[in-house]
Amino acid sequence: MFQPQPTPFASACFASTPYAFPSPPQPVSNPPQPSRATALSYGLLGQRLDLGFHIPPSGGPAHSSIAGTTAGAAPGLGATGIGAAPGVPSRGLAYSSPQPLSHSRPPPHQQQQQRQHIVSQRHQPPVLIKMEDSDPHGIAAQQAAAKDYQPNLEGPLVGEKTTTSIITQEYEKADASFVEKTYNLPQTFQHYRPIQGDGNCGWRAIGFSYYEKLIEIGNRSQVESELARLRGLNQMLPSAGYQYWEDFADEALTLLQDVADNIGNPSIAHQLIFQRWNDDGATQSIIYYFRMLAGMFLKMHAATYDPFIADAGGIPGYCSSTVDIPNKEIEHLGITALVDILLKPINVVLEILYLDRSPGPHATKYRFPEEANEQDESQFGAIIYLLFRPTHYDILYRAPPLPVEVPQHPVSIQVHRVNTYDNGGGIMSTQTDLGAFATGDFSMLSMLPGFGPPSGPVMPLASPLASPPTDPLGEPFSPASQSQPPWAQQYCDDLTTPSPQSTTQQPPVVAPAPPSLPKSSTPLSPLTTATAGVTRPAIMAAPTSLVPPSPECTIRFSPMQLEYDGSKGSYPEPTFQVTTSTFKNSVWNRAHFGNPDFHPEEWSPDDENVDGRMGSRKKSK
Amino acid sequence: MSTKRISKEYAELSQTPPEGYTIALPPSESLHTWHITLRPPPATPFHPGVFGILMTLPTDYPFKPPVIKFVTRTYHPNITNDSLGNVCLAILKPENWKPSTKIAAVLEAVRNLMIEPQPDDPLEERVAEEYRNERAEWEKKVKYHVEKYAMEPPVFPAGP
Repeated sequence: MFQPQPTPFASACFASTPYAFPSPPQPVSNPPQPSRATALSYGLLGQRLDLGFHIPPSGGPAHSSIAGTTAGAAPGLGATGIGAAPGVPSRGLAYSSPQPLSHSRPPPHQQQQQRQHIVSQRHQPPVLIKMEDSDPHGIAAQQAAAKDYQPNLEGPLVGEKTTTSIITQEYEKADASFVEKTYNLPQTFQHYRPIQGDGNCGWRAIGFSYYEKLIEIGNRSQVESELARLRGLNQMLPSAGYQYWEDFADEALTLLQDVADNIGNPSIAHQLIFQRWNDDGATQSIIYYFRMLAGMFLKMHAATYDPFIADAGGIPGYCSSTVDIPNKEIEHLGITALVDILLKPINVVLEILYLDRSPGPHATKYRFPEEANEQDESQFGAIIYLLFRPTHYDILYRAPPLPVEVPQHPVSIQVHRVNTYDNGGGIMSTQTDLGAFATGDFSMLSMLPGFGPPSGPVMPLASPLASPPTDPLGEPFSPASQSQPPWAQQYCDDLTTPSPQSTTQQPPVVAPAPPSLPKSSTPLSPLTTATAGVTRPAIMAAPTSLVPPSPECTIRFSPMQLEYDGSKGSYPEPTFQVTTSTFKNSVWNRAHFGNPDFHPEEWSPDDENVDGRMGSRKKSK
Repeated sequence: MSTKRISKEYAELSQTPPEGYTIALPPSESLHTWHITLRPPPATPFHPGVFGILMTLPTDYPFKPPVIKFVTRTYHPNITNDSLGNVCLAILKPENWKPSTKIAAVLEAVRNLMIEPQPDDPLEERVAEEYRNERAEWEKKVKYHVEKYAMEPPVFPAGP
């Protein structure tokens, strides 16, 4: 039970000690730092390392610990990791090419190296490094190998929708972080569409999805306004340095026109774009058209994007080396430009899930345009989901969202539950203590028939329960009990700020309000012991505070409330000594709060049988 | 795709050929091979010569660059001085080729290469060295080559 007092200073010290300074000896099975760095450099920027070598993040403690642990078994691997890549046959984990998995599973640390440099494997022929080369892993050798490398392209350019559990299976023997992320993938995204990795996959995935979303939105006039918009953009292509664009644009716009013509029949339209995107000439042209649009966008906004280019060439240099070259994979800038010029005008957002080695159970999400990351999904016309695995993009499809069940009466439930404790007023903050529960419970008991607070045997029971010697309740309560009776304090507070809770409490309370309240408050003088000072005011304050009705409250929380009109005082509950409702509501009634000799009514169990009318009315409720 | 584009560009170029060029299609061959003759401007040492250029457009043109070879032997830092006549032109390298580049622009680049060789990116190291350091000697050899090889109308190889 004992816990240190949570003063702000103490908690700050306590929290910072174990977490702020990670202890140097990190276990090998948990190397988040290097993977994170890798993830950032590959994933978030969407960039690719052509030569496949990897610059290790400079000297983080976690990274050095890995290097240290691997150094014993495989000297030299830890530093660059290049050595592992060419020699180890690719395991077909990150890509779909079915390499034989004949060799035995490497030890864990080697496997990590492999995962980390999975990019390099993807861009190299499996084992074609010439042995007479003085440095078989040198940059020159890798460059030569990469130059001649023709990727083994399989499957259609744009594949059919496939269940994402295939991706899970692909990765089930991979590193644990991949396993977890791919395991969670099908829960959100039931299907994916494999895209051929010929270097255009990012462009192809976005371009294909552009058409697909237009079909799904299904608005013919929107497609036609897109046609008009793109035709307008075409006129600016020559000024952006694209001398020949007509054929590319024709191909893209013809397909757009076809989509518009078949917008009423989505299955035909879907089939149409699927065929066209799998036709080699058409798909090349459309992709190149989108490349030109993105390049034009970058050149139009060169001032904005120039700072992102490290080379002296700036945006024009970047475009002519990356965007304008067929089969050059899309990078972050390209995605930004393409989203801005193609998707933003139709209010479609691109969300990319980066499947990398970053910690966490889910693939890292990032949305384009950037501001969409803070916006709610309901603001978007549609979202294109892409799955990014290092150097490759596929399209993901989400299942239609399940209808959200809105609870019918959540509010009233909360109110009824809360007001029990709220009656305790000042002890709210410490109600987790057993004593608080005791007082709360007994105050409720006092409202039950036959449990009048002053007379019953309840009070003696409550005091010992609620007053352990080290009761923390004593602290917040002591000032109040010294100056004036806490119930009075409570009374004033409730009068000034009538809360909905107190209103809801009205119906059950008014009738059984303890008549002996003033009497019972007498022992609460400053002479009372600490135990009584803690428990009894809490009990007494609860019903007292509820006696004055708050007529201005219009919120109805219960069926009882419907029958109660506070301003007119027409509360139908029959009461002691009241024969007519006129008298009951008059200020001459001592039970009326306006009476100078105000004395709350008291219910006694005997009355019920004496007054038959009252009993029957109770039953009718 | 490629045929459509090539015929379009051919029509354009044969109507208004770039300065110094004449363009013809070899008889009974596909659009993918062009016979081009270039007469360099008088300001260059190549001047009176007539240079034959064979241009081959790959089937996946324009997504792959055209291939250009000089059928006339040329003493030039960026053109191999042999029967192959390979040309080193930056915009035609696979990693630089842009499908939006027109053939007219390629021909223009070739002509500029004749006017102003690029000795820093040479195919013939020895010629480049000579061009840089002994310009007069280089010009003398160019004229010798022109007289020897480039005075007759170029003979294009038959067939691909």
